[in-house]
This record gives sequence, structure tokens and C-alpha cells, in this order.
Amino acid sequence: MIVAENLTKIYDNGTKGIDHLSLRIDNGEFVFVVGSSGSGKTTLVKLLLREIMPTEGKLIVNGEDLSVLTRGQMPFYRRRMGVVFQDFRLLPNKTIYENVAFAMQIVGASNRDIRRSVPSVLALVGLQRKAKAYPDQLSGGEQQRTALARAIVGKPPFLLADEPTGNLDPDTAWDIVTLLEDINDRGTTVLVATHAKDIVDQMKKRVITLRNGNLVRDIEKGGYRDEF
Amino acid sequence: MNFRSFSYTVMEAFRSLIKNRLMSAASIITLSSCLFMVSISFCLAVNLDYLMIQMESMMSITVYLEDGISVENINDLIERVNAIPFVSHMEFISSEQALERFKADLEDSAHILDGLDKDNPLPNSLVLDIDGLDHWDYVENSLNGLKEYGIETIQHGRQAANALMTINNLLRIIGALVIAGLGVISVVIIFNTIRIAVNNRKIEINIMKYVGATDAFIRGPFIVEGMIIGILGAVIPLAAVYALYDPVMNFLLDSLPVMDFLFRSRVYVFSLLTPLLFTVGVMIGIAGSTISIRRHLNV
Repeated sequence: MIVAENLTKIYDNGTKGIDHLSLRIDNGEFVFVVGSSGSGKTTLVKLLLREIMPTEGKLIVNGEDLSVLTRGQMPFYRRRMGVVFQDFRLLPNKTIYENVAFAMQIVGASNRDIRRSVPSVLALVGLQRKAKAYPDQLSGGEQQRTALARAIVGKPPFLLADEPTGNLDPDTAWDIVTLLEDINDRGTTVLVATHAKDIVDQMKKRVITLRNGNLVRDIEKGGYRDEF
Repeated sequence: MNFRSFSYTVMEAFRSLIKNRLMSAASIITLSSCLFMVSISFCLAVNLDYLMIQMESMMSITVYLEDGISVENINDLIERVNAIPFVSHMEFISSEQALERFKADLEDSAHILDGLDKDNPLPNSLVLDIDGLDHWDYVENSLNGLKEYGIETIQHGRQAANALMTINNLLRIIGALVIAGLGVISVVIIFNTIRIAVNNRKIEINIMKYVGATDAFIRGPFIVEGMIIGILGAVIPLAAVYALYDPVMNFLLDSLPVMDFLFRSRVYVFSLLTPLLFTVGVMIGIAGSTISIRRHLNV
């Protein structure tokens, strides 16, 4: 569950990223966060990643109050959260298998657990045959599926996707969104920050619209254009 | 840190070293060069120090006694001189013994001293060894206080002693400056090498942070990498000094007019140099990697 109460982020230069935002996302929900550039989407993602600290208000994710989370607790918070970025952020010198296994290695998982979990999650995203390939040998869609596999291999209760389809053609983008929906169906809370109007419109999921750091619309089964 | 994390850390460090092998080799060679210079300074310092100790032990104060002083007075004076602190050794040389020694020194030309046996101009004397150059003044002052007990003159190597002390102090300062300067250069070199390795893996560090790696887990391989560079950077100069020490010292013994002096043995120098270079190498490695990775961890 994600709860924001009066959440405010003012950057050092005085710019307001998020302005007294309050919202609640329950476990198992699929939510799109939309808005034009400068609306506060990126700030919200950074706050959720605990890359930046709120200036005011509360942000509670999986029971952790991020405004009081210490630097030492941060890694353990992030382990309960999967992240997918627009630019995939895969390690170029590691194979697809190794890229996914890496997320388990760094949390100290045993080799047996890694050998068991990685192939099944690669099968889930349809990449079992590409396990030995390197990222630069894959298409954009396949790279993003690898990133998704890496994000969910630790079975996090919450998946955060920041513009996951931004670098993909429309067909491939749909593959990724369908995968995200599959992951959501398995019980993971999914939050997608996006500009992809078509996808948001057709998915008929909950849509949170931000403008100038404020929540201007929050609609169950909404669409991108509802904001205008 | 459990065994899995430890083996991951060590494996990653070696992987990174091999992957960036050119850069690793360059930094090991540069560090080796710096530590080699440190080793040379160290060998010089150790041997100069040893030289000083030997020279100190060779320097003595000669006290010439008044003509016609009685045996009782001589014994009294010897007793008083013996009571002066820091006199490590004292030898009484009678005027007859002094003449014999003089003759022996002159070897073939000793005949020019013929005829002096009956009218020996050389006085009785006391030769004192002083325990350390620092106590020279004290002993000299004490001897001046005993002049009334039959001392004619006091002859000392005071100026030589002072010059020796000045040279010794100067060399110590130069040695310390050389070692400190090379130490700073080494830190900068290692810092840059690790920074390149860290920059190459910036994305990886970033991803590691996002998927929940602790700072210690991320830092580990870089620190081990720095330590390995430090150890290898110390082994090469140690091997070089080990191979070169005896030949160079023998060459110096043969070619310099200090034949009577001894140099420190290779075993002695190594017993000090080995822990010094390993400690300095590893510390430089750890410092370089810690500094260069720090700012990348703030994600």
C-alpha cells in the first residue's frame, strides 16, 4: 500500500516538484500516473525510489515511512520494490541470465535459489531462449522484458515502472504493458508513470493525473485525455 | 559479511582487474615505481643511520695529562673521569705506549723517532668513548670541571661530531620529504585508476543501488581491487630491492672510501621494508578506492 499525505517536494532552486499531494494506492492495484513534462511525475518516482527526500508531508510505502527512512535502511526498502526504467538500465557486460541473477546476488541469495528462480522468471517474460545473449544482441522490447524479469525476480510486492514504453514501438509497448498486467494479476501492485496516451486510454485502469505537482484528477478506469 | 558475499566481492575484484587489465597494469607499475623510490630512500636512510651509529662509536675525546703527574693523581683522575655519566669506555695510554703506537703508525719511517725514547715528548692520555653524540657537551663540560686534577688539554672531535649530526638530520628530513612526496603521488595515481574503474561501472553501481545493494556490498569489490593493486605494487619493488641490494652494497663497499664501515644486511632491511611497503601499498589502495567511489553511492 502506498499512502501520500500532504506530500511536498521543493528543490534547492525553489522549484516545486510536488505540491501537497495526497493519495492512496491499495495493494494489488494497477495505476497509471500521467501528466505533461514538469507535472511532477518524475519527482513522484524519485520520491518513491527514495532518491530524494520529501520537504514536507508523509510518504508511506509497504509500511515504511520514507520521510524518516535512514540511508542504512534504504537498500532494504528498495529490495521490496521492483523498478523498470525507460532506458532499461541493463549491464552490457552481463548476459540476460546474469542481469536477472544479479538482482538476487546482491541481496545474498544462494546459488540454488538463483538457479531455480531466474529460468522461471525468464520464461514468464518469454526470454528463456535468450538467456545466454547479451543486451546489445536483443531488441528494445526484449531488453525491457529483461528489465522486467530483473524487477520481479525478488518477488517484490510493488513494481514501479518509469516510462517503460518510452523507447519502444507501439506493438512492443503493448507486449510490455500486457506483461505488466500479468504481473499485476499475480498480486503485485503496479505503478506506471507514462506519456503513452493510447495505452492508458485502452487499458481502462486507475489514472492519476498530475499538473504542477498537484493531483488534478484520480479516476478509476480512466483515460489519458480525461485530464483535458 | 557471509561467505557468499565475500566470494562475490573477491571474484568481482579480480574480474574488474582483468577486465581493465591495461589500466590495472599501468597503476601497478606506477605504484611499484613510487614504492621502489620509497624503498631506495628507505635503504639509504637505514644505512646512513647505521653509518652514524658506527661513526659515533669511533669518535672519542682524548684528555692529555699534565707532565710529571704522579701515579696516585692519575688514578684519582681516572676514578673521577670514570664517574662521569655517558662515558662508555675509557683507556689510559701512557706516554711510552703513545710513542710505541706512533712508531707503529709510521711503519717504515719510524726511525725518525729514534732518540726520543729517553726524552719522550708525548704526554700520558685518557681516551674516552662517549655514549651518543647528544651527550658530547655534557661530558666535555664535566671534563673542564676536572682540569685542576691534572688535565693539560682536552682534544675532541667536536666539530666533526656537529657536522655529522647536521648531515644526519638533513638526510632524515630529505628522506622523510621524499617518502611523503612519493606517497602523495601514489595516492593520486591509485585514486585516478580506481576512479576510471568506478566510472566504467557507474551504471552498474547505479543499478545496484536501485535493486537494493548496500553501500558496503558495492564498495567491497573496489576496495579489494585497490588492495590487490597495493599488494602487487609492493611485491615488485620488494623483489627488485631483494635482487639488487647485495650487488649494489658490494659495489659501494668496493668503490667508496668507507671500507671500514658496515652496511645493514639484506635480511635486516627486508624485515623492516616488507611490512612497510605492504602497509603503505594496501593503505594507498584502500584510500584511493574509498575516495573515488564515495560520490557514486549517493543515489
